[in-house]
Amino acid sequence: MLVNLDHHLDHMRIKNWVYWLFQECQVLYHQGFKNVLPTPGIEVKEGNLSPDIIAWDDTTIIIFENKSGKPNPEEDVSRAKKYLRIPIESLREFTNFQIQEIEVVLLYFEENLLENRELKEELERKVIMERKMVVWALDKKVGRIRLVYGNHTNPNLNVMLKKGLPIELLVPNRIFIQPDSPIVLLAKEMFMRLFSWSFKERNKEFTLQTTIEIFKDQFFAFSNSEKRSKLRKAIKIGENLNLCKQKSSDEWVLNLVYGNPEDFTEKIGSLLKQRYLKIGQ
Amino acid sequence: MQIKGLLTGNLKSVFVHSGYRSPTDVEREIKDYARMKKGEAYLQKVGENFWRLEFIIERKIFYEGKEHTYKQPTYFYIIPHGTIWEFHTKESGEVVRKVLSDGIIKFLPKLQHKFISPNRIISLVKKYEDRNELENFSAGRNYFTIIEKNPELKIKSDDVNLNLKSSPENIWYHYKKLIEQEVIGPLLLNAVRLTISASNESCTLWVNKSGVISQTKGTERIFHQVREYFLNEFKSEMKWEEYIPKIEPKITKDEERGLTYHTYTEIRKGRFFNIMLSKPLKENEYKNLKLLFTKNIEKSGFFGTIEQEIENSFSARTTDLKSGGEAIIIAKMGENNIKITPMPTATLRVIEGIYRTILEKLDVKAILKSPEGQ
Repeated sequence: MLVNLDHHLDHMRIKNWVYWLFQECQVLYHQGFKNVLPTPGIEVKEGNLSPDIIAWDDTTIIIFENKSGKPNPEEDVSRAKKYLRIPIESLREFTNFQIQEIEVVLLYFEENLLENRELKEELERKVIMERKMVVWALDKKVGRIRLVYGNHTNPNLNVMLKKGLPIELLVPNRIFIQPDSPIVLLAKEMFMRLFSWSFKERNKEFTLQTTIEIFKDQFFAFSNSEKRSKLRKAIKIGENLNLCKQKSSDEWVLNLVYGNPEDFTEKIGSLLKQRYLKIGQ
Repeated sequence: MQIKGLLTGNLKSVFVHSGYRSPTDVEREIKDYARMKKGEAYLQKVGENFWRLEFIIERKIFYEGKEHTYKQPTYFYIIPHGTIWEFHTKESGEVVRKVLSDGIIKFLPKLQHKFISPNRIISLVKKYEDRNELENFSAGRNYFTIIEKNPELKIKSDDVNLNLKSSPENIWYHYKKLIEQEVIGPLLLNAVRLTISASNESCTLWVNKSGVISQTKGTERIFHQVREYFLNEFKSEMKWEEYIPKIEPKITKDEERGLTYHTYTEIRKGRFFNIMLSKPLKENEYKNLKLLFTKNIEKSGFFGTIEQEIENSFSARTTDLKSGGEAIIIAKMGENNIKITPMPTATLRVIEGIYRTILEKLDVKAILKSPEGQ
């Protein structure tokens, strides 16, 4: 199966835009949603869940599932249902708030809803049946989000979203990768971080542990073994591109010239030139 | 704190950013550096937060037609104030330059001169307005222009050095015209020489943008007053570290229901810093800004990538090649502020470095605003 890298990068953009809405001084923060987590990983009995964003006020937790491609009503609604099955008592305990409601927002680009009428209608039929599911549409040309189907428990949120919520499209990114990110994206982010790390430490030799450390603000694997395996694959991509070479089983040396880093960063840039990737690539 | 004892000569304080935990951590590097220079170095902790560095340099003299070498001991006291370290000494300016500025600070990658912004120097001049005599100042600009040529932009190396050293009789005239009224555009105030008088004493001081305060003549008491003034300013600036994000992964288990949450703890919440410009960004300044922080390493010491560009605005992720810290810069043509969001790897050096680069390389005056109250 092929993954479109542009779609994935768009998806990461949406995540960052939504995350920004909950930052201090931003509109949803003022609505009481002062708590936000990017890409939480939730292990449940049925498997692993990694919603894009979760945010909560005193009583309601909103779970975001963002789609940069066209809607897939069956898959999207089924994923949202999994989020709604997370026991509310557990979320209360986790957040330390008296959460009364869980709501799932399915967020699409407005153009993808307009261009795929049948899918849009099917999605509408499915969502209408679900009390706690709402659909948002993001118009990236004007930078605005609006409520398409469903209603939030918070009436202010409904009013605001029906009018259209302005969204900043130029925000400082906080989220760079997630569990299903293609390995090349992980590799790109890893070598960018190793680049900075190397200048900071004045050291070109790194270990697998170094790569774990530099990624501690990003969630991309549920277990340590998965994390290590992904990181090794990402390093291998770097080796093939001559960004680093292996010194021992757990040690590598960056092929970076401090006085002339352009060559190194150009190679990092070339990592994302391939538009379609096999899953796991 | 007044340091007395072995020192003779005029006092100097050199403030630097330090990425090291304590002077003891860099003892080996300093010794290595001394050996490289055919000298010796001894570091001794002499107080609670107070180290003495004896750095022996090899000097040459010509006597009776022959070259003789001799070893000259020089002394520096290192006082860490958090991430800002102070090298305090009575050695000559030449020794300070040779051993510290062009020596240890250059050699140790995690040390870097603290930037004293023009606003801070101007406020010092204003603070002592009624009892000081401005003796000298130097200011300058360091332009670069871009030539748009197909297929790419070319940077023209046309550094224009407008450094000026005024004569004592014209000093205030020049200061008001060039610094306050900006008749030839915003100049970066590099240094001032100032005589400050109190009831029956006076002190002449040299303050330069690279974190150096030095007593030229006069009483030590006034030198220490000014030193304290800067130190307090630096300490209040150090509180801004609270606005650099610090994130730790966190795993929470709900044993009862069989759930595990993989999330984060925000030990420190990041906030953006604003650089307020004296005028809106023009097209060429906008282009310069983009280049400075993504490609033009020679001019800025920063390197990075444009993350997004929408109409006439961009966001760039840039790395400070001196400290390895990263920040995201967001700017829009026609607006008079630039937003700097530190990434978890950033330190205050990075924010200060961006601010200093904008002051030095763009044709604008700028103020770095603390995130407080934004």
